Amino acid sequence: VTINLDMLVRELRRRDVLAWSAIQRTIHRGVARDDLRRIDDAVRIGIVVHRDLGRGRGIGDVELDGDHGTDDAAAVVDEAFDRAAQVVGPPWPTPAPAAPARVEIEDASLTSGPADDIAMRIRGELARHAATAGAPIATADVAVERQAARVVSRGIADRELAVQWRETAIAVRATLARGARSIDLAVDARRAGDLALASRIRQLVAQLDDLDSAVATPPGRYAVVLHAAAHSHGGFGVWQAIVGEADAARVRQGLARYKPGKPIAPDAATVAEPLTVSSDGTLAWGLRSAPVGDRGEPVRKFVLVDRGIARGVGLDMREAGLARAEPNGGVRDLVVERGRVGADELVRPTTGPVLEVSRLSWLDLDPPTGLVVARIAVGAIHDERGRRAVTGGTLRGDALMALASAQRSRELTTEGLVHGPVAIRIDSGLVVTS
Amino acid sequence: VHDRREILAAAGASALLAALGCRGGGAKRVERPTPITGEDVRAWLRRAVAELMTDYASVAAHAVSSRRIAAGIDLRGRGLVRDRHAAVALRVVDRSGAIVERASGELTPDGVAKLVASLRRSHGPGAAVRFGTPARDRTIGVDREPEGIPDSTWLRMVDDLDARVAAVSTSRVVYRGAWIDRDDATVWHVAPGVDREQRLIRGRIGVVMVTWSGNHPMIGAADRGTAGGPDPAALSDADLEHAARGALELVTPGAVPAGPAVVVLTPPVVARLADAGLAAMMTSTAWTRPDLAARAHAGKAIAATSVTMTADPSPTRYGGYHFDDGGVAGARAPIVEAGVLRAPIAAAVRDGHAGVARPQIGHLTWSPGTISETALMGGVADGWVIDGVRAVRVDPVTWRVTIDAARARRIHKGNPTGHVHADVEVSGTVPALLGAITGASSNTDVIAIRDGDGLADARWRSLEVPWIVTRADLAPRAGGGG
Repeated sequence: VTINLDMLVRELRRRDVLAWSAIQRTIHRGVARDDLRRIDDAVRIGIVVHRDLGRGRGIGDVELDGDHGTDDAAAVVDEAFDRAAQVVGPPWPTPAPAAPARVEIEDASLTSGPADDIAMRIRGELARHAATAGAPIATADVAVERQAARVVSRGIADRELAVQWRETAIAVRATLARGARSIDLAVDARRAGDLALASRIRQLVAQLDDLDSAVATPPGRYAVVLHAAAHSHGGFGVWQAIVGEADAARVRQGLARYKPGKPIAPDAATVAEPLTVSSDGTLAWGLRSAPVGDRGEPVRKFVLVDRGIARGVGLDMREAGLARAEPNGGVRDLVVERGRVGADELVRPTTGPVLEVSRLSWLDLDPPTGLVVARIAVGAIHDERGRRAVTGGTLRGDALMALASAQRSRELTTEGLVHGPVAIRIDSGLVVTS
Repeated sequence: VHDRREILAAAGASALLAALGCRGGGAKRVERPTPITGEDVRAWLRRAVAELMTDYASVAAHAVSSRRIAAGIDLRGRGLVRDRHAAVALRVVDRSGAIVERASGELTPDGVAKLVASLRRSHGPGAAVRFGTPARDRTIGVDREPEGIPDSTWLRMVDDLDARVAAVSTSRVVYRGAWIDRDDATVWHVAPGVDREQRLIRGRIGVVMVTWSGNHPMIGAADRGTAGGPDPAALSDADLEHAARGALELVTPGAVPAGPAVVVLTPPVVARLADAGLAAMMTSTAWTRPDLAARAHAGKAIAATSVTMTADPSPTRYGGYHFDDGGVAGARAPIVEAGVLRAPIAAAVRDGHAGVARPQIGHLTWSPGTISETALMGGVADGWVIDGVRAVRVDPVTWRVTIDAARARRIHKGNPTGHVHADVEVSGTVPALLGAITGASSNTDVIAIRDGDGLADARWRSLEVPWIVTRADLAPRAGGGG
């Protein structure tokens, strides 16, 4: 672009403002999709200025997405400055800048050569593994992205922070077909090695095998075992119940069930395996890991739930200022503490039938009530007659209560935004309807 | 982006501004006026196509310059978005049939030249290409230039809307918000024999109110969307009263009885059903699934014979256009004709008009019935009006649809009984729901849907639908049935 971060930072340093931050992201993205290969190059620049206007704090943002031929940094800063005067909210103290986190989020194997070549190579591997497993791809979309990011921010006492980093990301979306059946694959990773395409495809083919003999899931109450692909469906999955509760603004206004220092659910602290969950935006190869946030706020690991007791909440600049605490970058990737038993033991029908859910079709979670409603795509019932595959059926219940009392496997994996147990078992509270 | 679930997720915590992208109560994505003109862009694209035609069997150039203005107000304050996006994508097909695209945010002569250089295999002058007569399609309904309206005016417009919402709310309302959203995109497409330019202006306006009923929030919302603007999109007093009713009406204790029932679906519910259950299933990409239920029903009856749905991407519609993002003129196509399912749609729609193309139905029209909604409900002996749709989920393999709705109001002998149950679920397969339709209203509503947070990832679509009466499984959302 004609304008760049340095020009804007020079201009921002001349202004009398409460605080400011600037970010530039240079993005190179390659896509391989069926008969298409594509490269996108983009530069995105954003600045934010905070003004103390007596009647409150004014915040003005400017984001430049693409090149429109401007090189007038002063005019861009003026625009943010003027807008801050139009949009004024209650005042809050500016937190001090804090050191960036050290994170590993750039895969060196993705950094050389055009990204569409890398995407084509990954798509080729996907096609080979799928064909070998007997379920060739019907459609596949692979995107490889690398970014160079720079953030400069200034807060109280004119203390300035400058951080730069590089990051990579891969997204794979595919449909594998075998005969008249198909199954979807969706995986996101920071590095190629974490895609684990061969093992994921083996799991999908096993699920296709199950679907060949599956019967409709009988309605009823079960002990439910959710595998990682199910409990972390679409990113946070059922753990969204905790993420939604740990919203600083909702907690501050007393609108959340989550009360720091109190159990997240009745008996949450006294069950056999109390739940411990942290947000870790510094996790190596975490999808949401970063040294700092886009506003220069520090990213930190913090405990959300400690042995069943609600602890931390996500704090952006504003909420941290109001709480007179250090910002933590908000809730990012989750780390769920392991349990004591093996995943194989969790599916044993000890007191009644166990419904094992391998994957879901969809999941809806209502944060204010914690109600989770999810459709079973592939599963199995374990009872005295053995194991039989099932499909369909809608699972419902209070996700917060269910997670608070869940048994967790000792084996860990990373699925979506959750680094946690490969399976969890919920003995009561979930019901299956047709 | 204005998903009511998101608003619900942080009711009372400024979710509306966050949903609008107004982080921290501020404004974002502002840009200086662009110096480029349509003639400039067309010249750059024609030159690019001519040069690339020396190396490739097929070449097309596509570009967009777009702006977005959104303003919102809620308990935390006011916010304003001014977003600007520019991009250019060159598409070539080599002799083997492989498609290669190069795209950039640099919509400048140098930016286009760099993309050409990355694709060229030979040197020398470009081929002699006939582009035909340049065409600039008529812009629909620009009453005032949105970009020329100052921030203060946009903020005053949401203040005025908020004042109207305040007038219909009570002290029970714990959260309220109002928003206005305008997209303004100029799109160019140049290829041998084609040189087109279109400007698409799309506007939406909406309000939301939240109260607490027991331990769960009750949400009332209303929104409208239209092509053109900025003025045509407006909320009537009746719309605001409908939103207030949704938030304020008292809920009957106990859960809705579970089981098969006659249901009257309001237009927002019908639109989400048609969007997720039909439009999303009737694209050429969706049909690559061998087990897609819709594919197995092609040419077969899936609905009552009174049901006809048509893809109608007229530029007078919020989701319509003069030409799609592959440069093909928009054309009507039947999706369901007198109850029979027809062929999928392949119209190319790109994220933000320049991203990767995916097929999409820009606007879907569901043919209306012959009686008013009042007469329609008057004919229901015993049933439920389903209102306040929050989410619609569809399993593409079984074609089973699950509608999560805020409330069900009972009707007996054509009249409301006053019973209102919160948090209900309507389910069934799409063919079962459509096959059981016994009536549709003569009046219709247009529902506008905008996906994406900014402009680069935005996708627009709309549906015009009537009220319908059908049979489905009804159950409390928390369980107890179907």
